[in-house]
Amino acid sequence: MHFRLNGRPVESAFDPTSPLLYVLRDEFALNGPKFGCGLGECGACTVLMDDAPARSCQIPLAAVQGHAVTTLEGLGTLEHPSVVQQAFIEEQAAQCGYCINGMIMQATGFLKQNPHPTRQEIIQAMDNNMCRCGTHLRILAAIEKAAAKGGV
Amino acid sequence: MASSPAYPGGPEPAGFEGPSGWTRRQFLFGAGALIITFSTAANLLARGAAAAAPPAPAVNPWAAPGVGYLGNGSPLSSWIAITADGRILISQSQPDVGTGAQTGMLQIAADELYVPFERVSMLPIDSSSANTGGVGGSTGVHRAGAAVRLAAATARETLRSLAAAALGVAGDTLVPRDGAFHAPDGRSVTYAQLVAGKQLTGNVDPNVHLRSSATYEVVGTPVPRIDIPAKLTGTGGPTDYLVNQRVPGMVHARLLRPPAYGAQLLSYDARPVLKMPGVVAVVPLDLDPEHVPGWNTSGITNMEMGQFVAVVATNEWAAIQGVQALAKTARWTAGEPLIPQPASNTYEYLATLPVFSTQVANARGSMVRGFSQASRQIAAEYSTPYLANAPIGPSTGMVWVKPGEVEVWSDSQNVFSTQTQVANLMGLPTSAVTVHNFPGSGVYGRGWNDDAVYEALFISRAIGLPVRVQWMRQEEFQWSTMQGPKFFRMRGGLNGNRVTAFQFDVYTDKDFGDTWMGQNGIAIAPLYTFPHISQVIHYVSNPMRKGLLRAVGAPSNCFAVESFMDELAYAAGVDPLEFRLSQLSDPRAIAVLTRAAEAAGWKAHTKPSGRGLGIATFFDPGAQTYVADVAQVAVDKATGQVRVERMYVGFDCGLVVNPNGVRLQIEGGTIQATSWCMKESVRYADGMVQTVDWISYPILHFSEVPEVVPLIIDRPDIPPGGVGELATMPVSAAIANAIYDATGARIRSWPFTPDKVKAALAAV
Repeated sequence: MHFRLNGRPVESAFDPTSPLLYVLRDEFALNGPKFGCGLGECGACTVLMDDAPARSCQIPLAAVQGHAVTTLEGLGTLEHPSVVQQAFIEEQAAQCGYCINGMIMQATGFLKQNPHPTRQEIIQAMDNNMCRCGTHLRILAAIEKAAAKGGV
Repeated sequence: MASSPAYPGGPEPAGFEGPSGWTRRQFLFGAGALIITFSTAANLLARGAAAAAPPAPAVNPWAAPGVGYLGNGSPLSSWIAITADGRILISQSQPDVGTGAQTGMLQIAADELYVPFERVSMLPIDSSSANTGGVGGSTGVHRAGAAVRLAAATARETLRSLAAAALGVAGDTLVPRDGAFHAPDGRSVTYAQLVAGKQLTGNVDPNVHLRSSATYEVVGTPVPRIDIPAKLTGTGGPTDYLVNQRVPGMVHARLLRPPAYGAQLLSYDARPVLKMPGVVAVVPLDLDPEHVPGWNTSGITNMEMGQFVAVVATNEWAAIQGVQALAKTARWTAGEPLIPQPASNTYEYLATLPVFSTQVANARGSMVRGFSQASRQIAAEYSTPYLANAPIGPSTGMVWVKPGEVEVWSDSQNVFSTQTQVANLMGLPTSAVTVHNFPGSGVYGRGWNDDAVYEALFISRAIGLPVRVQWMRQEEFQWSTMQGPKFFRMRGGLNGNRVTAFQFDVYTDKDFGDTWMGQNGIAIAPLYTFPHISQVIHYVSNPMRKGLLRAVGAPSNCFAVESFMDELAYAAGVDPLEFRLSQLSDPRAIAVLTRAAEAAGWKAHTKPSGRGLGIATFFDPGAQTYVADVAQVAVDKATGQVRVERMYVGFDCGLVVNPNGVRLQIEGGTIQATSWCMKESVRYADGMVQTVDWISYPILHFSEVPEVVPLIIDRPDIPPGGVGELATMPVSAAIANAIYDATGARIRSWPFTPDKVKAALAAV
């Protein structure tokens, strides 16, 4: 299978039925997408597929043929975080942080589609991403901040 | 370490340089260092128990919470090091589970040493980092931070002596500032210069002079957490999450578990599974503690895992598919019968089971006298169900059994309990077991069990490869430990507007070690000035896996106590806030209640309007922290739907080390506890948990999260108390009391679901 991963063309030799999550983690040794439920219910594994948030535990490798996949690593780096990552850092929007990959990817995809959302629209967009530590208010504040800065 | 692909055709792993005890330290200190260990003081305290021992040292109240960590007698005890290249390194053993406690400890060290925050760092935690214990009980900044404070102050005073000698002046004329001592004549010498070329060691002095809290510069400021940027960018490397650690040659295991608790494996066919691409091995294991020599089941690291079969593969998907295939041929016996879950989900049945142990948690005066002084008696019953820890990331562990030694990669809350258990199970000395600790998903107490590590241990022993075990979502809900249910019988005597007798009986499905639970979690010490109090715990048993959930039972106790306080207040015809304030004498308890009530515009409603306020409070004598909540709710009387709109949280943890960190723990604890009482309940039937995912075990969603208003009362003159668990305590009682204020309906069991609220409304 051929697809673009964080901006460069790649080829995977994995079983085409494998969910994309395990390809990203086990074949390409990426750290951003996390296994949370394998059921598409929690959002910890979220990536962008052609700029739209997608749950990588639910997408078979065969379905990404010819598409562009972006993970947390493809947004920014420790030295140069993306606008959304920087807003999360400034708001200290993490406790354990295990869900935050999904929160940042979901928010990034959402803001690409709706750069000037209301708070209610943000809540709707994030409502099926689970956080157990109770960081929700910080996450909402971070997304509002990123939106105010006008970028992702 | 040489790198090689994890399996043929696999990725080249990033160079993995795990920390390795003394080798690492010799490297760190090669150019000279001053190292202050926590060990001798501990030895001193240990001797204190002997007949000829000197009296225990007098300790400054700012140091007292940390004295318990001093000197576990190990030469590798915790320490603080000042190195010749100007770094200040701290080694202690409490992992940061997402509370920011490590950042707080570093702030304390920076201030005691008069250096900027950036100069101080903490080394990765492993089994040679010992020993400020494991993380739990809100002890991070409160206790481990106090130990760090002592070590840093001892280091500073040792450096002062060195500086006095170097500059030829009296030590008390020197002023510490920005990593140097400054003499009155303008000369100065840096810490780095003082230790260059020397290997100096010393032991912490429990009576060392501590810097006055009034002069702190770093403590009290919202320093950003040290772990957040890496967590948000997926950096990898030895400071990244456990799940991102990749070891050369690593294989993945997934587990086929019994269909019911206690079911025994009869047969299975591994042959078709072994033919699947990527599958390396199929390993049957029996981890029933009665079948495993060396298994210590008495402590926190309990183990009731039973039998399972591991499928080991070169990648995760192959292992998952292997388990699915194996399940088709596996045959099991029937499991152990469970006591049926009551349809009401309210657990009165706990009071009908044989009680195998009873514990008096709190007693004052006499119930006979208390009730004889009462003009009225009030009684009520409350209950809470089984709750799941429900971490977002399921249990993970990695182990490599090598000849004569074992290497473990873990996110355990205590590296030493994991190290000891692994050593016992393998018949090895603890020195042969290295445990590396990494950040994990928040697990809220479940991390004392470290189940996936023990499973990976036995699989690795069977196949000799580094084995990574990760549980699937369903396993996490079915096989993880849970918080047991409780049934409360409350009885109170009233004379006018005063409580004369307060009787609290709780029936609880046994957690591990009853005394430990009694002392730390279940026992609550009401600050109320009631003359007669009885608080008794009755332990019963149901064969489900029980363990720790954040705040260890105190939030459910507080639900019963503070709901019942409201019922007593209404029975006495007194405003619930006034009723509490008039029976408290502790000014800090009064202050948190008053602060929350004022912010919320407190007013008990005489006529239910569908909107209401409820109040509840808690004091934790271990953490020395006070909290009071006012909940603001709106109830849809047609549907029974409760919307928790806002939580006002009065909070006094003494000196606030990091205001942003304390705020975040208040927000997080309040939201998590709102989730517990509004939505959560483990359901079980046919010998097994039936709530297996985020649909059947829902937690709070973004659209249901209340606004949280932290109202922190900073007390710079009082040593910092515990924080991490505290905000969870009064949440459910405040919400239940607000529902009553809004509707006149009293909800006496978690969760406060629409059906339950609707039924209660119909009975009003």
